[in-house]
Amino acid sequence: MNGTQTAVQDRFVADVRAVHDRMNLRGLAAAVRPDDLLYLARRQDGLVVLAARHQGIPHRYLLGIYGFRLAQYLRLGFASEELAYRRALFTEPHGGTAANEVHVLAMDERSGAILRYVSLVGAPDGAPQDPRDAARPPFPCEQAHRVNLFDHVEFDEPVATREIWEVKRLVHRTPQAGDDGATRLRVTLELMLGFYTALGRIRPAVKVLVGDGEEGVAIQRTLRSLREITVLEGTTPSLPDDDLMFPLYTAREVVKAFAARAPQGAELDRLTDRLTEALAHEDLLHGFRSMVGSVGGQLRRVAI
Amino acid sequence: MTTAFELKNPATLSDLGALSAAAMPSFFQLPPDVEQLRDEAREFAETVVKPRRLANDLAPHDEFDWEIVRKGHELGLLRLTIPKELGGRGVGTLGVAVVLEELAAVCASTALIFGASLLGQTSVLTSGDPHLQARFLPQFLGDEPVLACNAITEEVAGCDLLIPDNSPVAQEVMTARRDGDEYVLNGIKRFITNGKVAEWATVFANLEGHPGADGLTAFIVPLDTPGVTRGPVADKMGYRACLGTTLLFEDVRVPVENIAFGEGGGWGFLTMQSNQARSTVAAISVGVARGAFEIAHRYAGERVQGGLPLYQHQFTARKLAEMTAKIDAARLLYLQAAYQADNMLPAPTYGPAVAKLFADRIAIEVAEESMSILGARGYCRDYDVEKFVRESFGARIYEGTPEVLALAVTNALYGHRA
Repeated sequence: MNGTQTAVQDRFVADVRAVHDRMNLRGLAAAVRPDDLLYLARRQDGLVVLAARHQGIPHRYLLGIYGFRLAQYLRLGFASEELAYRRALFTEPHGGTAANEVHVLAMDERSGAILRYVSLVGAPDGAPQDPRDAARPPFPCEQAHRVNLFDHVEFDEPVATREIWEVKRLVHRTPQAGDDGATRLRVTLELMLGFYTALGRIRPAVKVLVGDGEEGVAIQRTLRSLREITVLEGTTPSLPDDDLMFPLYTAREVVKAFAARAPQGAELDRLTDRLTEALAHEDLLHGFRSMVGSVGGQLRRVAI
Repeated sequence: MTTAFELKNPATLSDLGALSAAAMPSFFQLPPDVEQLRDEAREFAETVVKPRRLANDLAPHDEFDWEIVRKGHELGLLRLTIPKELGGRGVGTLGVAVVLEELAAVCASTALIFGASLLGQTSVLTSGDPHLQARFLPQFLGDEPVLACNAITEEVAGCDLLIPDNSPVAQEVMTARRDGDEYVLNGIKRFITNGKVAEWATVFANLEGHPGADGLTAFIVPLDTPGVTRGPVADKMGYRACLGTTLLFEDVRVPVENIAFGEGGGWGFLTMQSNQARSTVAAISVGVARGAFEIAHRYAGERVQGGLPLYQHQFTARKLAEMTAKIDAARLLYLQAAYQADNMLPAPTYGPAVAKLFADRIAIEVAEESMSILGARGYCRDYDVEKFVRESFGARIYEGTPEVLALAVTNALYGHRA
C-alpha cells in the first residue's frame, strides 16, 4: 500500500469513528419492542441502561450499536483498519448472530451517546445440544481458540447449549473531557447491574457464561462478580487474516478462553442487591470494594 | 394557527379525504410502502407542520425551525432514499415525490427543506461508491437530524449549468485545483437551500483549466471544513422557512476520495439528478396547488352569496372544475416522470421537464384562482392562501426555469437529445 492509499485509509477510519462518536441514539429505549426489553433503568442525571434482545431493536438502531462496536474496536486496534477500509464498513458485520444476541448498553440520555456496552451471544443452534457434542457449532471464542471448552471444564449439573451464552465486546466510549474515575466506575456498575438483571430474564435460564480475554483485564473484571472462573491455559487463539477482528489475537498479549457458572436464583438476586448497594454507597469506590469482597470469586486453571 | 373557517357539513362535496382518494386514479396504483409513506407524511403535515407554518412564515428570514425537521426525521423523511439495509426507508424518486406533495400541500417551505437534503444525498447514493456511503450516510441514521444540501448555482452560472447546449460556455467560476491528494476549492455559491444548516454539501466545481461541462465535478464537502463560510440568508418572498444561503469557499481542502462520479463526472450526474429533482419539484408544485385549492374548495362550499353557495355559481364552478382538473393532470405527469426516473436508464429528460413545466404553471394559476375565490380573505395572512400564492412562484425558478425546461422539451421533440 502506498502513501496515498494509506492516507485515504486513515481518513476513512477517522471519518467512520467520528460519525459514530457523534451518533445520537436517544430514542433507542423507546423504540425497542417491549417484549424484548430485558432491562431499563433511567437515572436522574440522564444515565440510561438498557438490555434488549437483538430482534426487538429496530434495524437503524442496530446499525448504530454495531457502528459503535466497530468504532471502538478500531480505536483500540482490535479491528483491522485495512479490512474495514477495503470492505467500506461503517458497522461491524452482524449477520451471523442476528437471532440470538442480547445488547446491554449504558447511554447518556441527553446526547444519545453509548458510554459502555457489552453483548451476550447465545448458542448459534436452535435445538438444545450437549455442549460436548463435537458436531455442534462452536461459540466464537471456541472457534478462535480451536477448542471445545466443555471437553475441559466440568459443571455440577448437566448443561445444554441453549443455556450457555458468550460474553463479547465489552467496550467503552472514547474517554471524554470531564470523565472522572468515579463517573467511570458508576457507569461500569450500572452496566453490570443491567447485565446481570437481564441475564436473569433470559429463558431458558443461563447456566454458563463463556468468553475470552486478557487475564489481567477482562477476566479480572469478570471475576469481580462471578464465583468461579475456569481459564484454559495453552491455547493459541487466532482468526484468519481476512477476518475483520483478527487483530484481537495479535494486538493483545495473552488471550485466554474461560467458562464460568452463571449466577442464578438467590445467588443472582444477591449479586444484583450488592450492586445496588454499591451504587447507593456514599463512597462509590468503597461500595464497589465491599461488593467485590462479598461476591467476587476465584480463578481456576485448566491446562490443555 | 389554523384557517379561520371550518367545514360545517363533512358529508358534502367538501370531504377532503374522499377528494384526495378520488384524485389518485386507480390505474396508477402506488406501491404499498409508498402508500403507507404518503399517509404518514400527510399526518405529519397536518399535525406537526400545519400548526407552525404561519409562525415560521412570519419569522425573521434567517430563523430555522429545527423542531419540524426533528419530527420529520423521526418519521424517516431525511433518509427516505437510503436503502433499507443501510437503515433508510428505501424509496425512490416516486416515494420522495409523493411525500413532498403531501408536505407542500401544507407548507412548501417545509417540503423544500426535506427535498433539498435528499437532493444533496443523491451524489453519495447514486455514485455507487461504498466508501463515500460509509462516510456520509450513517449521519442520517441517528436520532439527531442532519441535513445535506446541493450547491450548484453561482452568481454568473445558474441556467447555463442546466442547459446542455450552454454547458461549453458555462461560466462556472468555482474551481478545484489538484494539490497532492487533495483538491483546493475556491468560489461562491448562491441561493443554496439548507446551506446555512446542512452538515455537508454536494458542491459542483470545474477542474482548473477545464471550463464547461467536461470539467464539471461533484465534490462532497463537509461544511465545517476550514475555509467554508456560510454567508447571508436570502430574504425571500416565499419559502421563508427554508434558508437559501450564500456559501463561500476559500482555499477549502477536500481529499481526492470526496469526488462522486470521478473527475469531470459532474455533468452526467447533474443530468440524472435533474430528472429526479424536476419530478419531485413538480410534486411540490402540485402540493402547493392542492393546498390552495383545498382552502378555496372548502370556502366555496360554505360561503353563500345570492342565496347559493359559491360553488353553485357557474363562474366559480367553472373555476373549481378547471383547478381540480389541472391538479389531477399535473399529478399524473409527475407520477409518470418519477416512475421513469426510477425505472429507465438513461431516464429521458422529456418527462420530468414536461411535468415540472406544467406543474409550476398550474400552481401559480390555481393559487391565484383560490385567492380570487376567497376575495379579501384570500389576501389576508391567516387564511393561508396568500402564502400559497407567494410560494407558487418559487418552484418556477429553482431546478429549472420555464425557459430551461422548454429547451429541454423542444430538444427532445426535435431529437437533439433524448
